[in-house]
Amino acid sequence: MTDKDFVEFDLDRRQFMAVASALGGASLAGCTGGGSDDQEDADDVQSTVNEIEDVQGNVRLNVALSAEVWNFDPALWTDTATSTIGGLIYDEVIELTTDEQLQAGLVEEVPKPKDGGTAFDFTLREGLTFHNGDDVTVDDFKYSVDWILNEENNSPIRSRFPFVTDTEIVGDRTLRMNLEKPFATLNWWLTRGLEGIVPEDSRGETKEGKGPSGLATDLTKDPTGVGTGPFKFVEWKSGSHVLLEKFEDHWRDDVPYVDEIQFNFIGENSTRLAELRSGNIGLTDKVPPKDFESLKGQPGITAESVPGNLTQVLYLNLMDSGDNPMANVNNRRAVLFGIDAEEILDEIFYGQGVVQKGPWYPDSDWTSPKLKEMDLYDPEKAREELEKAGNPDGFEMDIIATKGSWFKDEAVVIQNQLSNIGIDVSVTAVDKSTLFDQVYGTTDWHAAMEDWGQSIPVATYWLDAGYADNNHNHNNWHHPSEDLQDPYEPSGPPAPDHAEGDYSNGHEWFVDRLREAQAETDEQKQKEIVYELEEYVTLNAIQIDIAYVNSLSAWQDSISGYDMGTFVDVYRRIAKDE
Amino acid sequence: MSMARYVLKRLLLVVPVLTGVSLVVFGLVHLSPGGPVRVMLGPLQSEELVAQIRTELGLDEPLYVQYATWLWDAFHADFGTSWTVQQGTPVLELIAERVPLTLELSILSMLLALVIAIPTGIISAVRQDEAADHAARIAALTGISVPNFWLGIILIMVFAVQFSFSWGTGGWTPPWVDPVANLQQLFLPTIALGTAYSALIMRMMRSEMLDTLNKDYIKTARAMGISTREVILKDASKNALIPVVTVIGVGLGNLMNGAIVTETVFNLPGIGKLLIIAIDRRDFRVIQALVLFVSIVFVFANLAVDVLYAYLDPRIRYEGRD
Repeated sequence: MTDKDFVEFDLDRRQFMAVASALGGASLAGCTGGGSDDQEDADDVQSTVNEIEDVQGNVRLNVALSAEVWNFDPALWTDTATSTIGGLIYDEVIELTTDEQLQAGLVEEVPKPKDGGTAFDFTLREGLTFHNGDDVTVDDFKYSVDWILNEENNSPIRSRFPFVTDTEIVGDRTLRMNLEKPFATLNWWLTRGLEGIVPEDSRGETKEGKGPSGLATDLTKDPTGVGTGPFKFVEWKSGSHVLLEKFEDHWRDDVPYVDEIQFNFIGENSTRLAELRSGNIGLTDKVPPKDFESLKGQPGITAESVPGNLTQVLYLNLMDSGDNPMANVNNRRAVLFGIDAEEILDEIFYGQGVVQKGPWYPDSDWTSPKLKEMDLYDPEKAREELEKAGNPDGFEMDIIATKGSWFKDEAVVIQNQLSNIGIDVSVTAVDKSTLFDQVYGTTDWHAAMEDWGQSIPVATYWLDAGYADNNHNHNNWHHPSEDLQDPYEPSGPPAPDHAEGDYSNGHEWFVDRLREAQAETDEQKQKEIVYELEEYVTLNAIQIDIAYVNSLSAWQDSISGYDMGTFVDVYRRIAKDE
Repeated sequence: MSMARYVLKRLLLVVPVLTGVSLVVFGLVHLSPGGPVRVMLGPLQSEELVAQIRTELGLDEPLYVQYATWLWDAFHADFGTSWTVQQGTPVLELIAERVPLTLELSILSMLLALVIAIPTGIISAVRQDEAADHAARIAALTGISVPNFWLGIILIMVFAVQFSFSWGTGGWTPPWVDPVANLQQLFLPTIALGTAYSALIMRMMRSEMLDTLNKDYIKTARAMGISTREVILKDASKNALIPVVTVIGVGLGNLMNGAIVTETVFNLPGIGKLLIIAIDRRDFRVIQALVLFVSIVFVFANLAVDVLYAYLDPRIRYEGRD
């Protein structure tokens, strides 16, 4: 560059202002003008929404999701965001409705157990086709299930096929799953285990560069043509969006009602809400509780709250590692009775949720009547437990919580509450991956504030996923096992006095009893076992289940057919008024 | 020392600088707690599987071995595939897709900053202690003090909510595909990112201009009857711009850093947002490659500024002390 180049900057004030105005004016060309009152604002927003249709020449719906997807292989995803979008690209074999019922998806009917509960026959609907036009065959079905069952593939959802040993083709369109022993709620587990059937061999071979074995396949980032769902995959740009387009030959003749749907990943809450308010997007999930009421009152926007599936949990480390106060049951009970869950719900979640009384939903028939009647927040009882523990003046403990989230806020509220009974809590905020590493990989911690998304509306599922696994449950609650690594010793309370059998550890009894419940087909008998297990884990304070937080979403009034549920949100019938 | 030798010497210095940066980044990423495997697998996986995947990813190797392997691969422009951001996608592909957006955002923000800062800085200096100067200084102080994430959110609230300004969420349209859509998408982010930087340049410009206006040759020029306008625009401002060029060069690197926040607030799929996701998901490969990329931009921007300096100011010579 020479001196001559700088002559370019020889603008006088008027020239400068003219350039700046021109730049501003050109950029503001996208504005549709401001309204003077709420209704005009709402009309403006609506016109922006409609403009998107006009420009595209078809109906495109923009949806904002707070979380990014992981991958598009139905044998590999475990998270809600991917399940939301994946559910539109693929179809579940058995669907979960928003009112928590089972309904047939890719199969003709929800199968009933055979051979004493050790076999289930799944018959595919007639005339199913993949997005690439190929017919869906029973061989494709078998391949899809067998790939998950094959332990070499490391599918993270393998555990959602409990006791399923193998499959066999028993008809032109019928696949049988054989079980090692009866499992009454298998169909429920499969709603989140069989979220898609893919063409035979479409996953390809595991190879270097694709990712660690079983964690990446040919479908991971590009499921073009392999779905059967109401929308076809178009593109995924990580950190930005996923675009889907209507599949004309879907087996449900009447869906979908929009031509395209774009899911935008917007982690920043204020941006997501502003995009909704401006009409840039038609619908958003995960409305922050603090903004819910103001959004609800805004013309042109519908905001809804339904009971959610996210339980706020204080994991406790039961392992006796020398100075861990949580290894003592009385200390744990003191913490249990010292926490006012109602205050946490009000302070952090603006009352959007429900206080738990044990692991499951407090108004459910599957929650122990005894627990329902109890008031778990009882400072007097907490002090009594401290006395029993030999710590009348309290003790010191640490809580780790994920930073940049409400977990830290919850931990701070708990810190204040427990200080009232003499328990001195230190709160440490860490990254989620750090917390996972510490909780699941070490015994060097006291308590961790986390949440858990219940994907299946079955009480025994949570008792299983949250407590049963012997070598990686999040409370370090273990029974003796040859499989366990060195640092893991038996831990936790003994089996209850009434336990039948010779149990050296309560966890061993718990797992046996849970398996009995899972095999039991008589609902009342199953409930009685569930009550017993809920009371055991709650009153021994294996972990502290605090509250189920509501699920909050909001959308433009021009959007209809969005069906919100506790365990599933259904987008397939979503429509937009033109 | 000739210019060519100077440039060569600086280029050679780039090697240890980038090696140092890579070492620090590698160390920080790998020594900080938490790793990609647990993020990748979720909580309910056995320790055996966690260990198996760690082995497959080479994370159980000694740190120096991992570093040497990574450095060797990086030297051959092989940054591997993403672990957790988009499994199986080459890291270079992820970065290459996002660089144009971040680069465009940085350049537009820089242009905006210059368009605002240089005239304002000149006016502020020429009208020292007058109302225009006070207004410009207050504006500059405000611009420096306001965090760009906050400004971004306010801009969204004002433009998008109040004026229903659509900036085309969820993606980026390259200017060669649709320049109007592109300008629409980057209008608000450019303001958010460019404003703070314009305040910095304006203050620099004002201070240099004041210094230059008091120089003897300016006084001589005025005494010779050359018009004030000509003296300011052709003599004073050109000389005052020389130190500002340094700030601009370094600023390009800073703008790329600022883009991390801006892209997150405006949901733009650039390298800033990619870095945030990579950190959140502990994708070591993406983090290391991105930081190295930003470092390269920074180093070469500085080198370019130094070279430019010689052209702008003939008094500067690149001689050593030998």
